[in-house]
Amino acid sequence: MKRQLGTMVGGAIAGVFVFNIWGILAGTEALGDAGGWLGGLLIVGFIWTVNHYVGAIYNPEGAVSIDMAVAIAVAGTMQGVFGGAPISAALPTLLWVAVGATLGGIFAAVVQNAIAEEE
Amino acid sequence: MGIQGIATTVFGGMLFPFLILMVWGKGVEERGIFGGLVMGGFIVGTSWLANHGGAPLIVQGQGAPWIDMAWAAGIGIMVHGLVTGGDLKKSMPTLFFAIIGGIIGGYILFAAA
Repeated sequence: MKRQLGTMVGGAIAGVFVFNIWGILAGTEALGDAGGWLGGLLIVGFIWTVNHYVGAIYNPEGAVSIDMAVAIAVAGTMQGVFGGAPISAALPTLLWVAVGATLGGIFAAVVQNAIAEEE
Repeated sequence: MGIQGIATTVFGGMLFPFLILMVWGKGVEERGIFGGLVMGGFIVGTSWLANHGGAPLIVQGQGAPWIDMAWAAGIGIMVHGLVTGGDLKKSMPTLFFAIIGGIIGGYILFAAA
């Protein structure tokens, strides 16, 4: 349970950081689009050290990995839902993103296997 | 969403977990915490520009709550774990608490806005 406290707290912080800070970086005129790029390094890179390098989010050996992205994704969508946006309007986007994500996960596994076989 | 929007949304959802799975671990393996930081910056920063930048691949619904490319990472990494023989049952508590953390975060974001 103490490990899952880490999952919950680490996930909540990741979600708040991504959506509270990214807009500041991306909206800074002096930085332009480079500000949006910096969000990857300054926010996700940093919070990754907490959640996955140190391991605040509990991922036991042999289990399917649960990435902090799950918490970030839920936080971004729930922010709108709490604000009254209808979840149904987001479902087409979510469906097609999920289709793409499934392909990406499978492609990576196939290509990694192929690379490993060559070695 | 039209056929073009579907094509770009699927492609945007595909590229992010693919890049994460291919190279983030390599950065950690070779350069530890700094390797992970740098790879995180490149993968997430560059994918963000493609998926949510000026010509966004992931098409959002009108008046809809935000679907971040993080959905793609979370789902894609789980799919990868499943097809490489990971135990899904063992990750259920973490999945549950990650979602709870996300809902708490979402509320804080709503309250702060």
